[in-house]
Amino acid sequence: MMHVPPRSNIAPAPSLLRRLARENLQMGLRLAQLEFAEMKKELSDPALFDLMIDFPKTETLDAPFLPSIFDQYSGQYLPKLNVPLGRISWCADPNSLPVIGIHCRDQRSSILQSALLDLLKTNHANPFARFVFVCESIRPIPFLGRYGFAYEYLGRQPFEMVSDRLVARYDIVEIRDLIDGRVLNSFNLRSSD
Amino acid sequence: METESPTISRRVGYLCGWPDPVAQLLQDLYPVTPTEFVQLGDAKSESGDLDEILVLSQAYALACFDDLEAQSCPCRILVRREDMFADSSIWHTGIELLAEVLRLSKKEDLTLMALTKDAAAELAELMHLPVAVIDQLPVLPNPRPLVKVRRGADETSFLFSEAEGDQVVRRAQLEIFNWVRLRRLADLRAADPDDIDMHDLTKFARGEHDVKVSIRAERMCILCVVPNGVGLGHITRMIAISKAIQDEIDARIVFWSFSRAAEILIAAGYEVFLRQNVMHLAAHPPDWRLWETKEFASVIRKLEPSVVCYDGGTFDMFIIDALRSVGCGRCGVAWIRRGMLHQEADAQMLEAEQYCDVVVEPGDLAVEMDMGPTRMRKAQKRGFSERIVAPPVTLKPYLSSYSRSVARRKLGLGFGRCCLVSLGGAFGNWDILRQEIIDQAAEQRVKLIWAQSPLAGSSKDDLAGATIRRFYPLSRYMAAFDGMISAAGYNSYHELILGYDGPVLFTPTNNVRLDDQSARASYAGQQGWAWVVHADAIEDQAHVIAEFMATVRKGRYLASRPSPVQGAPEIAKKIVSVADKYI
Repeated sequence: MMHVPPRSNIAPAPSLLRRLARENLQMGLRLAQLEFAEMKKELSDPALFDLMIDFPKTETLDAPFLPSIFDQYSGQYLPKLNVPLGRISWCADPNSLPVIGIHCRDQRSSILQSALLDLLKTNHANPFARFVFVCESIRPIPFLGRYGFAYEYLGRQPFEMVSDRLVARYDIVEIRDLIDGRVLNSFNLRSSD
Repeated sequence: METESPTISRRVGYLCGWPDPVAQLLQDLYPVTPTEFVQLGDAKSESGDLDEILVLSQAYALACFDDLEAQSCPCRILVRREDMFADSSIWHTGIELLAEVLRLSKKEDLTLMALTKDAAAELAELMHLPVAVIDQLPVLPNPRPLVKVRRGADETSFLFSEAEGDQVVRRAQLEIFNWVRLRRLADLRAADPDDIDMHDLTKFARGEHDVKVSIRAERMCILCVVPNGVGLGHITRMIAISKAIQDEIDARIVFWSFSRAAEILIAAGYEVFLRQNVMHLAAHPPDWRLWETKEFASVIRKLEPSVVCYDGGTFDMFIIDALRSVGCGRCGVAWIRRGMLHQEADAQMLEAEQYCDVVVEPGDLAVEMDMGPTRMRKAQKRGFSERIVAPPVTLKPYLSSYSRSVARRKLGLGFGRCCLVSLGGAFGNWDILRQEIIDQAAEQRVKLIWAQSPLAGSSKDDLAGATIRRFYPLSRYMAAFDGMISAAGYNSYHELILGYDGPVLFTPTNNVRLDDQSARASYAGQQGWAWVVHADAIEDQAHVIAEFMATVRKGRYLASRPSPVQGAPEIAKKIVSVADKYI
């Protein structure tokens, strides 16, 4: 017969839970600091977004447009997806932070890197939002992916064409320009409000 | 931007329960007029720009009859005969009720139809109303196995002729198939004599008219799905196969990529839908899968690919769920699945074979050492799939290579002996190995060039002072190096053994999540193709590294390697043959 330990023996002690919660807080913050330091270093590398991909001369095609799914009945009631905070920040309840779309135009790497550093520095010091990076260029994607951010690659598709989708998929409240911080589009549709 | 599939000239709304094979078969019903099918949640909303509403059972028609009457567009109701689960008295009551409300209805363009002539005749007699026969589907000429369909069955067995001519018993879960695809794979018959609706359905699915009209875009489209692998293997292999397909036919190839290295695909000349997987987003898996299913299905409807090619270990169900969607059935599935998995790898992954038209294994030179499930086990359910093993696939034949001087200039390497080191990096503690390599290289005055993946971040502190190069693809630059130290993943291994004649030292990464690199590397060692150092005994293998470095120093070439073979053209031909089934 299988031996089942009494419940008191398998339930974790409150003191253990408190210690784990404390360690989670400390380690979460510490890990975010380490990740941020690493990210800062990466962003100072002028060749960060240059992958040295070398194919014989090939025509480069734009990103194809993703057809809308909202004109189908089955596409109307889709659940919101989680947007990660990213590994450079830590907060106890990241889900309480609003989701902001960050429009990354196809700019010179130095401009993008500097703007990313400004934005992420602020969010590291005092997390205020979760970001979905909406990119015209695919160059920043490997970097954004390494640090655990959500992203969308649009190519030349205007972000206005996909804003309904971004709201439905991520519950974003506004889209801002990465470089000058302007609000490009705002939505007052947060389901939690 | 490339021309999409033919412009939609007709929009048809449909109301049905799910899953209903008739809804899926609608895709084959209008072979001439490009038609968009719009699933309706109810008939309440104004039909707007719909040309017609089809209600695919009497139950749905009765449930929303008032709303149907209010619609401005024509409505056709498909009246179905009894299925094996129907209560006969309830079915008769439904038929009588529908006949009664239709007689009272003022809507003139509300008509009845049935799936077959027999059904139309019987229902017209019962309802005392005209019942037309729905337009019939084109007959498909190719020979197919006879499959008896039983409603609600978990799986079905049938006799299947394999390519070698042997007749074997195959099993499949038929519910995973879109009936537009299923009718191309099987000659469908009803298994239960009491299931009259199934008899009607299978007869309808077999088709009646001998017409062959394609409404696809003139240029064939192939949709390739690549997962976010540990390295760049899936992407590299799929680029080679895509290039081979484009050598075979003029095809539009579009990628659905979870890999962050999608920039490589774009640089190779392909269109990419860049996605994030469930782990990237830390999303709730069913929610994420629902999004992938809907959006993947919308892309299939728009691009009308003839084949979905998947290169990866295990299928995610979003692909199969999307292919079951209405408008997504005229598309085959090719699974590019490399072998050499670890012996203890879960054989359950093989069961995805039943989703496929063809399972293609890019050959492995070390196949004799393959003890993994893809070689040693068979799937329980293989469906209608064919399995082939092709020669190894490499990218090198599809790219022009640089001469030694050009490659060196491009990489800024200068003069002297150079050895490229590409340890894979994702797994394993290589500190001891790295130090040993550095020491032996210094001894032999060989300059080390540390390769960095395009997916990796900038240089790490512990490599400060070392020469680091980040470039892709390796095969164009091979001539620059006097020796290579590499992990033994499928692509690196075959690119080096089949496309490089300098000394190679394999340092296999042995992680159960990956392929059995140790076995693959050991085979190369036994054949005299390369030197091998295993992670678990580096201290005892210093002499191997020393011998390798001495050979690099001497600038020796190895003539004993196998002649280049190329599997991508064979795989491309097979994929094109799958596509031909779905025209």
